[in-house]
This record gives sequence, structure tokens and C-alpha cells, in this order.
Amino acid sequence: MIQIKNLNKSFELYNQNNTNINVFKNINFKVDKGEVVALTGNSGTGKSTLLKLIYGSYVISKGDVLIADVNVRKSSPRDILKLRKNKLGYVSQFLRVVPRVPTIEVVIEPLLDIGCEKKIALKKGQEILEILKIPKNLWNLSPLTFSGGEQQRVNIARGFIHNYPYLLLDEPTASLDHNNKNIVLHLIEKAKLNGSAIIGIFHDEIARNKVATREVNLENL
Amino acid sequence: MMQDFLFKASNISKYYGQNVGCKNVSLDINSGEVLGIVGESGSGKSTLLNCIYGNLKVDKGDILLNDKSKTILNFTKIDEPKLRLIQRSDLAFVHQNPRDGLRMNISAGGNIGERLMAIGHRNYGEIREIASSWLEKVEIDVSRIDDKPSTFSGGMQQRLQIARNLVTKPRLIFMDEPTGGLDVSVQAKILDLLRNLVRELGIAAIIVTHDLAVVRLLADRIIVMQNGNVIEAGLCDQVLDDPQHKYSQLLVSSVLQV
Repeated sequence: MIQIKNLNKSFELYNQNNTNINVFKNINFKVDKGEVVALTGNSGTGKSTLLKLIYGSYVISKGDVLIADVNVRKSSPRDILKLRKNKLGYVSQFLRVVPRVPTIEVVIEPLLDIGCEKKIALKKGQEILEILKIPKNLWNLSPLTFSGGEQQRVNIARGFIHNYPYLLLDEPTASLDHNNKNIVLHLIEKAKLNGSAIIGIFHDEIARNKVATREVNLENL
Repeated sequence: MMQDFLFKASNISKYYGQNVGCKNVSLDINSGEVLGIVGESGSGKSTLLNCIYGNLKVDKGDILLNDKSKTILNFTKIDEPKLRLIQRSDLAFVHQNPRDGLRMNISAGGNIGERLMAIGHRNYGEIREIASSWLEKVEIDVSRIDDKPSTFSGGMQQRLQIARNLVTKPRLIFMDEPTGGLDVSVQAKILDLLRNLVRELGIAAIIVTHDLAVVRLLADRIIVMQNGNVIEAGLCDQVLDDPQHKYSQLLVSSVLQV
């Protein structure tokens, strides 16, 4: 279960006239196994910020994020890295990879990080790239030269190659066409049935209605 | 469990007369981890790196290495020959200026082979073969194996220095701006090589750099230095995406987006 307790986030921008930006206050909700919670609210209400707080990329101002038995705010960097490696996946809108590394290597990295044998990892990598319809002749090229939609699917392949029990999705279907969108929604559905607890941001209402079991609107909290 | 760490430096201080080199810096690293040290030039990054490697004598602090036989060695307590031996076997140091890390008057192959011979390799054919494969890994044309590094470009020299240091598979590598003088395409190749070594061989690396894009791709954790002090430390993406200190915020916001 992912539990958000009295979560507050503000940014103190020292070099910009000491501006203090309050993003949100006292957010509370829980996400159980097999649930997909969609975060809603206008742009600027802190949806991506909330995902980054859960993932440990942003510092929690007040309150707690509990993932299974891990308290994110109280965890050391090493504990967070361990949590990410084994349990907590995150698919962002941006692909950040070492240039010149082939797509297949990028995709199987999460499996190698948990000690999976390379042969098995490669097989799983090929499977997920096939599911996501990335043409075979691109597998050995760096994804940095790909189109936006292809890059996004490489990101998704990375996020879904390992069965993370907790998954954060930031606009996973944003730049995809109709068919590819459905493929990704199907992957999310499968992870849900597998018992993953998922929090996602889906601007596309049709996509959201298809996979979300519940919505949390950050404006009404 | 106390002895799980690979390397630990505590309360390291170094003064140059009245001037602070670094002050009360503590850090630790385990096998398979990459630690980045960032900060502007003059912030004490290189001083710190040279101190903890044992190149510079510290004024205060302890430097502990958990060596291959699980014995804890304190660099500030062991004698010079012992320290040199450890530096050659367990550690490696990649200098910012390749001329400081290479022997300019022997061939490229010799530069790599020398390190292999120092750890006991004797078969000439085998040494030459390993040297060739490392030249390939760092993208130096193997036909240059008998040329002296003085005939190489700066970028090639840096790649050769990296090959010379990695060939013996040290347990901890210290790197001072390792990709500074490299073309972006070769820089990427080196980054990939380093990441694979870290994962496959469990090598640990402490990397000093001012290039935040490099640390983001390479480091698990980073420490930010200013005027010899550590002003912020933590998870790499957390420090870069949500820096808490005034100076870290300035550092991160000063990077041009590409």
C-alpha cells in the first residue's frame, strides 16, 4: 500500500527574491494493491510534484509518504535507491539515458540492476519491445534519435519490464497515437490485475476513464 | 555489519596556510556505488579527492579502506610504501590532466601493459592482447598501440589514461573531471563503459566534476561543495531536482538546457 499522510510541499527559491511557493497542504490518501489512482487538477496544482515526492526526487516539507514499510521522508539515500530498484517504478515523460547506448540495453537495465541474468533480461526486453511495437531494426540504436512517441514507449518498456509492486506514471500516454495508447493502457491494466498499486497522471480523459479505479483531485483537498 | 563499507573518510580537513582546502568533510562509499562531488572551481573538490586518495597529507581526519582481506586500513596511520601498494592494487586515480596520469615516454600499449605487469602479468602476447582490447574499448585505433601518448590528441590521452587505470580492475576509482576534455560522443562512450564496470564488477567510483549532466547519468549520490565545505549531500536526483541550499540552487539553475 502507498499511504500519503498530511503531505505538504513548498519550494524556497533563494536566488529568486527568496520566493516561497506553496504547492499543496495536507494531502491524505491511500492506494491499495490493484488500484490505479488518477491524480487530477489543473496544471500547477502539483500532480507531478506529488509523484516526485513519492519517488524521493523532491524533499518532503511536512508529512509522510509510506510505501509498504518504508517511510520515504526518514529513509537514507541508499534505502531509497534500494526501494526504487526492487519495488518502486517511475515512468516520466522524459527519456534520460547515456547517449549512444542501444535501446535494448536501456530497456533491460532495471532487470540487470536487480541481478537478473543478461540472457533472460534480453529475452524479456525483446518481448516488451515487441508488445510496444518498436521496430526490430531500432533495437540496437540509441533511443535519443527516436521520435517523441517512440522515446515514450522506450520509457514505458523500462518501467514495465520489471513487475514493480508500486508504480508512478507521469503522462504515460501523452504523445502516443490511438493504437499505441491502447497498448500502454493494456499494460497498465495487466499491472493492476497483478496487484500493483499505481498512481498516475493522465490528461487524456478517455485513457483515465479506462484504467483508473479512483480519482484524487488535488484542487479539492 | 560495521565492516560492509568499502571506503570511509571522516572529518577530513586540509589547510593551505591560512586558506581552507576542505573542512570537516565526511563521506563513505560501498562497492558498486558512484558518488559525485560537484561545486565550482576552487570549491575544494580536487583537494578533497587528493586527500582521500592519499596523495595529499590531511591536517585532520581518518581515511579507512576495507581492503581485499577485510582488514580496515587507515591511510593516515599506515606507512608510505604500504599506501603506495594499496594505491596500485585496490585503487586507481584518473587525473584531470592526462599528462599527470600517463608515462609520456613509453608507448600506448606500454602504458596499459605496465599496470598489468605490476600486478603479475608476464606473458607478452597476452599483455598486448589485453592492451589492444582496452584501446578498442576507449575507441583508440589499435594501430596506434606502439605510438607514444605525446603524439595523441588531448582527448585520446584522456581515454588512454582511463584504460590504463581500469585495466587492473581496481575496487575504487577516483576521478578528477574525467570527461572534461573529451568530445561529447567519446564522453558518452566512457560514461557507458564506467556504468557497466560499476554494475558488472561492483567497482565503486568517486567522481569530481563540474558537469551536472555527467553526474546525473552516473552518480547514485552527490555532495555539493563550496569554499571547502560540504553544503548539501544526498540522492543525486533529489539534490539536482530539489536543491535545498542557496548555493546548490544557484549551481543547478546556472546550467544551460540542451
